[in-house]
Amino acid sequence: MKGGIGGALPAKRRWKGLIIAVLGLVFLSLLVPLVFLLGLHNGFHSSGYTTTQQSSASGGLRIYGRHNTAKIGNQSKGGESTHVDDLLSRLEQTFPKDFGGNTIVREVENKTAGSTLLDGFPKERLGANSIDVGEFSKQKQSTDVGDVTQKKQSTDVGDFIQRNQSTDVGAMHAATENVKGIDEGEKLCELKFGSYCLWRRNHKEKVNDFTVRKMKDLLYVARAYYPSIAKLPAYDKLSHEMKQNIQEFERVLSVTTVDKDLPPLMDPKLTKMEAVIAQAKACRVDCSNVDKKFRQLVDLTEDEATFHMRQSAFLYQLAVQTMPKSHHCLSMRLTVEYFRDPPPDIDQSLEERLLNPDLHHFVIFSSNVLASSAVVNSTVTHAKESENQVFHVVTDRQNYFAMKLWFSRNKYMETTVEVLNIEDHKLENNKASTSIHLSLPEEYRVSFHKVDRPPTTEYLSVFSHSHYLLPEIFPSLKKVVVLDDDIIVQRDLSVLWGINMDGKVNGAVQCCSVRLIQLRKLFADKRLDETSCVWISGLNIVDLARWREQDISGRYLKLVTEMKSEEAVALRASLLAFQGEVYALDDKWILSGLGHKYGVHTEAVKNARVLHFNGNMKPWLELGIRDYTVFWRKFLNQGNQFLSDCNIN
Amino acid sequence: MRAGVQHLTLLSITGTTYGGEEKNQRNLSEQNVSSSREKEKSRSKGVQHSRSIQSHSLRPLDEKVKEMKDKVIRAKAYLSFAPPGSNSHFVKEIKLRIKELERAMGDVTKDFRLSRRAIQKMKAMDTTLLKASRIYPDGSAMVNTLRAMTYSAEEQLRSQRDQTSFLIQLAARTTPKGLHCLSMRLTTEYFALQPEERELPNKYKLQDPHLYHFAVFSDNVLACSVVVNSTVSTARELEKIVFHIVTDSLNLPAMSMWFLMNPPGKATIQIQSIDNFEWLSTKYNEDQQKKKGLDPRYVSALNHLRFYLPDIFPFLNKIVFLDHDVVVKKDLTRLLHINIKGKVNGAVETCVEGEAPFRRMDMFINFTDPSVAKRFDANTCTWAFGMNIFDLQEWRKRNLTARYHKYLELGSKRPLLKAGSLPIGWMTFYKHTQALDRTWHLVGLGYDSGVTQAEIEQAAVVHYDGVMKPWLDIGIQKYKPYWKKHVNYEHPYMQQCNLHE
Repeated sequence: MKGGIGGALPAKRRWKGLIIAVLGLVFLSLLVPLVFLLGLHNGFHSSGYTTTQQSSASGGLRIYGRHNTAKIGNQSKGGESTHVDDLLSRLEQTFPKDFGGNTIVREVENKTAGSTLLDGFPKERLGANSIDVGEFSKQKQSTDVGDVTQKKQSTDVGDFIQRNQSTDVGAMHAATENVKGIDEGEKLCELKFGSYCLWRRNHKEKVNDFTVRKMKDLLYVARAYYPSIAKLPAYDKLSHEMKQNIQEFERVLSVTTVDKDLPPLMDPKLTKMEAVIAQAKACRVDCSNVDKKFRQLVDLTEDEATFHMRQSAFLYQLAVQTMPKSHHCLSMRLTVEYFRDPPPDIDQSLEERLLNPDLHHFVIFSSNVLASSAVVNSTVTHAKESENQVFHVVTDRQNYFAMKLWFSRNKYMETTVEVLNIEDHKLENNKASTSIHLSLPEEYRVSFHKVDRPPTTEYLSVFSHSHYLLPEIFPSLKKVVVLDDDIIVQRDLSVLWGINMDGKVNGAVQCCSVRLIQLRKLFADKRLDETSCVWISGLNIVDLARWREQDISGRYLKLVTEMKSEEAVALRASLLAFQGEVYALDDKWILSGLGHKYGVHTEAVKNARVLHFNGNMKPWLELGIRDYTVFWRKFLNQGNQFLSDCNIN
Repeated sequence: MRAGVQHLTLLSITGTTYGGEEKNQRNLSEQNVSSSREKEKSRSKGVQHSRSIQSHSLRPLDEKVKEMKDKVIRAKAYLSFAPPGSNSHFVKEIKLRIKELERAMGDVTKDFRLSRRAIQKMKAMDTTLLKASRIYPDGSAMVNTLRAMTYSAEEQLRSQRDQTSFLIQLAARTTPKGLHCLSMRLTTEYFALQPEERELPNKYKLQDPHLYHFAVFSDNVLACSVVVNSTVSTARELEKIVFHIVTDSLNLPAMSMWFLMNPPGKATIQIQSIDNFEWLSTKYNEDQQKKKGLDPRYVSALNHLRFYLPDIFPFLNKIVFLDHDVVVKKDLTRLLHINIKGKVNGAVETCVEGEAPFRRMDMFINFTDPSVAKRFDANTCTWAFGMNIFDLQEWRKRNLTARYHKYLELGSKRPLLKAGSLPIGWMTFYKHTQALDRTWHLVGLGYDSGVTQAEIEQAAVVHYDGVMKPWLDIGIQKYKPYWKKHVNYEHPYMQQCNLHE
């Protein structure tokens, strides 16, 4: 390219131009094999399914429609579309068409029930939003986003199945000892279905029922050989025998799927079948007919497995986002009890404690009685001086009565627990007409995919709108520790108040596997300190005095109103609002990722000071990761009547 | 047995996944169902063509597409012949061909939609496969590899199926957030009322045996409202209709609040709580707590309450019993005039010639137990709960509640019954049941995606029995509209709780 320009330069600088031209040629000649290499690279190493690539390499921000996964059931628009497909097609879109380079798939999970927050805030769409930040990926879809989902709904299911086969290839290769296939398959699955795949891998039941499986195998072999044998007149007897055996096996397998249901005395039948097969194999039959049968089988079986996988992925999403019946029961039970026998008002001395800035104040934003109870319980259990501690559980009207009753009936040592209904809160600068809704810490799923490396996924939890009311809700307090409701405390936390934060507002744990630079596409023109790590909520020391001084809430509000795109508002605005105001807490303070990472060592969990169950698989769900949920369950109030009434144990 | 039932649920969720989609999509998915269904059947039928026939008749793939898929599988088989970790030229080539062809085929199922590129790629694949067959000419090795592939695909399918069924059960144990919000909301509002405002009107009608009485036992406000709304929308003499809702103390406030705010027109409604039925413990020694412990499902107490109808309604002679997962589509007052010929229970039968045999009594009741075998005929047809007309006078006369108790006791000592309150109902009302015309009550909308629209049109009551309840996300999409039609989505609480159509 430069060579061309060089040629057109004035005479006295021609020699210079020549050099440039030569250099240009050299550069080009270097490029050719490079392109070739890249092509090969794409071809062999990335398992993405490239469709037509666009020439423009603009990665940019791609947003894929917004859906509230938390409310899948209630938000269908057209009567025609099903939620499942909705969800699946959404999942499908988060799957980049080509990830030959370095792609980031982001998926946002909004824990909030729905809502807008402060007066003047843009209405945040209810939703788990999926964003895809493609860095070097060339994307097929240049279409505008809003209706992508709609359109997608009418695409063929086959599409999915077809593509997905490759996922299965992974597993299949396992049988044929091709290890690399597995990684690719799993990687694809994770891209497409997120944490479902992690769960899937770790939730495989033990292989058993050997006899049934053996029978199936033999049946298939017999079936494969049977047509060829039946064609040979000389083997009438054998083909008759085969037919009998096949029918026998079919009959048994049609009613039995597990070994223990098998009728007695199967062994001789197996032996007989094996003998028949051996005979059949001895005959000279055309291999191609036999393996054709097998190929059909492989195809059918794979299709069906894929089909079940899609269902599972959907059901998994459902299970992590809806409410267990037992939790519904508990909330109802507590609410009814509240009105049947209302708890007494807090007495005067406790009232004073709530406002006393010299005590250690914890704030929990939560709509989950069990979760917040476990946080309080675990904190108090490990506190050296629980009489110094005051907890403020901030909830909404819907959960207020249940929470209130729970914390008045359950005492946690010497500590004081206050339950606040955020909707009752009167804000000075708030117009009387608008009510405030509770928004819980939001969790964003960020995952990075690199060629030849397993994807890394983080769940970033950040402050959401309600947190920015902190200075107003607690006007008398100077310093508070904000806890998410998906944590468990395993050490005394009073040291936190002694930490010198160098005048910073927010003492937070950082998640340095995600740096701001990697998220820069989200921030468009905003200026960022790109080298800094992302901080997460969970355990935050908040200097309310500095907060007021720096007017962080004002900053945040301004940022939110300025944001053009509504994607990941809380994440972007929070990260920007606290720029330069974050004091990095020692990593040792908190062990994160227990809601999505499998394989964390039990010792590590046991010794951690604070456990953070960020991720999909919350410890109170049946899908919670067993190895860690025990550390959460310890802090359930054993033997509580309300819990046993609702089958929570 | 258990596996069979589970499998059935598995199959039927297909409807959920795809119901109400674009046409060709649905076709494909239903093919999927039927293919697996057929598979089961074919195993017990002839051998000759079982699998191959399926692949011809059930899968919507065209010849060429099928051929391509077949080639991909062949190529994968050849790929596995290469030593593990090999990156030879040939391995690369075959990998590339697989990827190319898979991509080029994309989601196509019809030949005419295949791109020219796909055809080209197939030709390239042919060449490679030919080469491969020269390198690996051994036919039996190929058969073995394919066998291994089949085996592992089968494994995959198996574990995937297990997971799906596990997750379905899990989903069935959840409460939609919207419903939770609604119940919570109604509860708090109820307690904001003055005690005198909590009374429902027309109390004098509740015990009048000349009116039409309907009983619904439920812990689900939304479900109940649909039963009541749908009944009311079709009933002729509304002022003569009386609903008796029985719920538990947990849901009593929400349920009452809902019907205070949404009275069923001129019809009368009564709401009671099972926890206020003192006679349950005094007269029958029922230990509620114990029973809850026996049955993992929380609603069990309400489920079993149906066997105490004469005690709950001592002044009534006849009552129509409706499950909360039904939608009434035709006037039911006629039902109360049907002559059930001196029997206690009028119900539709569920054993159809040629239908799945599990509906037969002997699949649920352990007939190897001699005390059972000599008393019941295993071939007796079963009938459905969900919409029944009960003659309470006959019931009292024959003292069937005592009989129910006897079987319950028997069942707790020996493994007599397999599932829930249904089999024990069959035993209790054995010889006391009169078959109703089938169009009165259509079952299966909660598990069987094969129920046709024509059947639904004809039915007076449709029943969403099964785990796929219409208020759950896993409900079968194509049947949801019949239910949603009767949900009062305009109600402000519904909107606040994000319950939308």
